[in-house]
Amino acid sequence: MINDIYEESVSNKIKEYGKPAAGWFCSYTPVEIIDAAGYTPVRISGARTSSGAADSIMHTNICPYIKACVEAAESGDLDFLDCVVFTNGCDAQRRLYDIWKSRKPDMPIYLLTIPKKNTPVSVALLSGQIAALTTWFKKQTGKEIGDERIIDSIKTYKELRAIAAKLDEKRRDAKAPIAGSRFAGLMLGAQRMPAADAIRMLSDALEKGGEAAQPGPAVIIAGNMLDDPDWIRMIESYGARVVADDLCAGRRFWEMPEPDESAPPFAALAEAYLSKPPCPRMAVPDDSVAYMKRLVESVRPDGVIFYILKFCDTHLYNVPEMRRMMQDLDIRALFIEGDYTTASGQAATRIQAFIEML
Amino acid sequence: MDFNMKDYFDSLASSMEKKLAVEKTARRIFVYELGRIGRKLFDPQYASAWTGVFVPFEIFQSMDVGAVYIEFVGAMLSSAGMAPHFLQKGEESGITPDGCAYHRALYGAASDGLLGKPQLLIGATSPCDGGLKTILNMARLVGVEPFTLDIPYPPVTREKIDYLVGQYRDMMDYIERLSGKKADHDRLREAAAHSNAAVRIVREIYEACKQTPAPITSETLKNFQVIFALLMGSPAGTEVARVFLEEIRANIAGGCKDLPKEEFRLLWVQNRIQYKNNLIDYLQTKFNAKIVVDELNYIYWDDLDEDNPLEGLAVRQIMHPLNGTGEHRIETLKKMAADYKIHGAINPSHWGCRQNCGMRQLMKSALGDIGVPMINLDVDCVDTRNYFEGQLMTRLQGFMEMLRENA
Repeated sequence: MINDIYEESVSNKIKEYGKPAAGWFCSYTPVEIIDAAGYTPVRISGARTSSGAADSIMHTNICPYIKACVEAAESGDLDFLDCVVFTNGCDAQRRLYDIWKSRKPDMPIYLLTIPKKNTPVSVALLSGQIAALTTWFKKQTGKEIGDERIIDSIKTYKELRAIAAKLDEKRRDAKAPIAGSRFAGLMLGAQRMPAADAIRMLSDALEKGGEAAQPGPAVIIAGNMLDDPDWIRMIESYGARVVADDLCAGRRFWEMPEPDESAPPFAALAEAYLSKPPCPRMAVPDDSVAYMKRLVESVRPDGVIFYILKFCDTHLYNVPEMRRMMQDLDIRALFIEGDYTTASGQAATRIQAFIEML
Repeated sequence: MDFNMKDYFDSLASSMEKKLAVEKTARRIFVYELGRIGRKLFDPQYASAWTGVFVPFEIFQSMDVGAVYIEFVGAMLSSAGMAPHFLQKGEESGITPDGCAYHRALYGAASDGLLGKPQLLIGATSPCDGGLKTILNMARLVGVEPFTLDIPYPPVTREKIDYLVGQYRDMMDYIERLSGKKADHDRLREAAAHSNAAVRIVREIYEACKQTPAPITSETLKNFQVIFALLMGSPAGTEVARVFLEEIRANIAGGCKDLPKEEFRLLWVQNRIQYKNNLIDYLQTKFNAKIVVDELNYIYWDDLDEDNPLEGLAVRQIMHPLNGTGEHRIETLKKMAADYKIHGAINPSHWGCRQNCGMRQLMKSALGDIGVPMINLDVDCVDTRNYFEGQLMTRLQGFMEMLRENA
């Protein structure tokens, strides 16, 4: 049941919620605003197979997730969306916005620009951008979106994230840990349904437990857009426990400081989003490498698997420093450049060998 | 590899000085000034800085900062034939071979200790992720605190100008803190005045190139504005621009008789191929096709307010055609194609340049809609290791034959 939202047709499931659907891609998208506007936020996954359509529109050296999203859009699989919110998360994402605008001219879309710094003026700028996004949603719906509704959504997502944090801890529970693949499925589901439904789903999972992790070496999986629980399941099938992640669709979604309830809601959201565990896109002193170091020191895994989609400059340019850091921490690490498909034979073999070594 | 960057710049400047004594040409003066800029990196009178491209060099000029942007270094290594060695070094350090070779070559050179230790590292979030990430990687490698300019997207608003101007002020504080070089409003005003003077001349140069035939060769303005940026705010910038204009005026006065024939007028998209190659010559000699304008040779901003230059610099940086959405850039390309009466456009699609490669079909389609075919080559503009000239010539031949049929 938990993984239904992932395993069955997303579009059919979304219709059951009886709300319009707003697609989104980047973990810096303030889903609270989408929720407050009365939409179901739908984190978009790309097509797992290619018809060649995306290759004819974008160069081969563009992020495979972005191209898979183009592929999904071209196939009509995403036509159930009522609107889409993009960010300037990276070069490939802003090009995705351009392509979408050109190929889907009738679909309302919005580009939210997120600063790459976290300073008081960046927070103020983002606060204004979130306000502008809210105004755009008002125009789409013709309805007011008052502060109260936004504050309610902030509280709802705060609750959702708190439950996700507890589930994350359960991955490392000494007695009854939950499987990393199950956690990944839950997180993906939570990003594709109304927040209130997601809370029910996650609470249920927290209470009932379910699919337990098997014993074996503990690994962290880190990288960018790995939104396929089968990938995690494959790692588990070789005998490892995935005890934590640093992924766009994982920790970068649910781990965030609580928005300040005493501050105006746009400012509170801006502050919280810019202060969350940083994606490598951010140019902040306490950057994604420093964050990863803290995560590894806290979890003390037997190894770390970096799964980074090819052509992702923001992540791949971090690799030399990540390698150095892992050596300094004396933690074994495997670096894989992925193509967004379910693990290729070569990647699977490397993972298997790595886990055997652990 | 036995290579010393200080010696390289010294040798560049001194050899050009000798050549200039024999004959003063615009290109020689340009290269001479670049040599002098490179020397500043090693001159204790100046604070040394590596920066992102498209940052405001007027501010550096006003604070005695000897700065070069990192893509310039990558291009220089490539044009000197040394890029493959440093690209290999970069790859051995863990930098992906699928990334931009401008950045990878620089990282390899820095890993080799070739570049020394700058006092300042100033990146910007535009035009690409790779440039900023390289500055941040350099910071780790050489142990220097970096500074980042976060550039908002167009359109310009009061809020965005204030955001960027505030960061310029923070950057000036950063320069002062790390190098001891002081910000001085009068010197900044002076730099803005030099910048305006140079830009007025450059506008005149570009205006002349709209004529048919254009009073230049395909190489005259190669990499012009993107390198000229290094001179912005200096008297040398005005002098270089003036000499270029003189040459162009002389060509016009001579009826462009000494210039190659011009049957086709081409627009070059983004950056040129930096290493020695025969493509431009092939286009000229086989097809009488001349590059009359490069996308990056485009003055899109108004004169800076000399009493308040930071605001003008902010508008300039926000409105750069490569900043923000593709629509903004495409509108600029269409305008250039119309203004320069372009027959066809060439985009090298520099391997590893996501912001360009991701929208190349959109550019092609938009230019095609106004009757300007564009060819997307697949070439790495810095890395020669996968350069196959014969294939590229065959593709260019097909493209030019199509233009001929359309004519």
